[in-house]
Amino acid sequence: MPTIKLQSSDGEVFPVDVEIAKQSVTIKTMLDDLGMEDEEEEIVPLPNVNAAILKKVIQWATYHKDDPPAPEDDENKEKRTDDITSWDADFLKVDQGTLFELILASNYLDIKGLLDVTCKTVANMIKGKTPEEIRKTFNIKNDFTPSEEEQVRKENEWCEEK
Amino acid sequence: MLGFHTLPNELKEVIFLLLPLDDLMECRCVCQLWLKIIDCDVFWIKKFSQKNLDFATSVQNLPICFYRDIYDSQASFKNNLVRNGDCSMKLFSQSPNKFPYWLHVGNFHSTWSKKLLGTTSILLPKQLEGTRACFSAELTHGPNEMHQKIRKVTVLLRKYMSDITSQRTSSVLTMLKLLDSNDRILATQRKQVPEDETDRGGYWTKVVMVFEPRTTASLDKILVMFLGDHILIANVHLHLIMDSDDLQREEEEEEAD
Repeated sequence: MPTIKLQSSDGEVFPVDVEIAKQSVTIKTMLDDLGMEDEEEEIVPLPNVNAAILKKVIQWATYHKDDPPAPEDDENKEKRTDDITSWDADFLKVDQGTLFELILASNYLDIKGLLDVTCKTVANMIKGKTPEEIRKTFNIKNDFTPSEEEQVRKENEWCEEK
Repeated sequence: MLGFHTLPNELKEVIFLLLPLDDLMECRCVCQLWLKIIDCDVFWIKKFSQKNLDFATSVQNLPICFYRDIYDSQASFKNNLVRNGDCSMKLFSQSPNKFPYWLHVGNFHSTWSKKLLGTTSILLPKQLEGTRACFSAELTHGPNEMHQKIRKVTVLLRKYMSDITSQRTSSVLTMLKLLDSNDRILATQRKQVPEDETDRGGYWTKVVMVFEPRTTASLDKILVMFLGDHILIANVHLHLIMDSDDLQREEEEEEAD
């Protein structure tokens, strides 16, 4: 199987099966458009992804290499967030920094499946929490003045009235 | 360390779009940035499309509760309200030359005079029965200064119900919200006004909101929201009264009643 070499931002080079790498639309486009496939020695630089994250991404893509392609009309459906497979859930048992880096990397590399599952994981971290708990979870500063916060809460109450 | 705040806003939005409405409401309270992302037309257009709701482009800049309410409602709602020009979503329109006017397709009349800025009657379609109705109107500024001091909004709801009980009446939630203004709301009153022509057991609920504009230019939008479960709101009258003398006179009249 042909392989390509992916180079992380910190210079580490990872040989990867082309088919696995092509789960990244960014890489796939690069290979298709530039016809780089034949040149095995070509190194694809990925300046936005460091080695630790690239390693995780490759691990994910390797496990999911035989997944059927995601349905097209996905975006217009209300998505569930409780359908994360146990393998993915284990894979994403990482610290928050890594999780957000994976989101950024999957966005940059355009790997829809990984972006989906990482975003769902974050959504699940938000669900069911109060604003204060959410702030604590993500280390967010409350930058509302008391009266602004009161106002936002009041608007929420209006919404809840039936 | 990378955190939620380091994600670009588009990705924050992707995450928020995965959340159900209750959680979105909580997220609004987290911080200014989250509020800004969620209270945004673009966000709700996307949220709507998840439910295959068509979000009319004319429905914009509504307060969060409107979006939520439309979103919460059944899909048939969009046919009645969001899309259908017969109803009220096309109520608002702007024209640089005319002040102020209500535009809607339907039973419409307006009378403008020096004192009474405007009255409009909106006939809602019968299909609204049993649904929650919500609509908005936008009032624009005119060239004439007198138009910019509106002090009172009266909403008359005419309801037809076969089994009128006081409990159910109180479940009618009527709400006026002044957008983009710091106007102080002085009083809101709600009372039932019996109607002479009891053709179908109808009566009016009168909602009056009196407010004090802080600046003459502050009132550029009036949004009226009517929520009524199992109630057919047949007629809505909006009275905008600009003059405080007028206001007082009306109050006296009311007391005399």
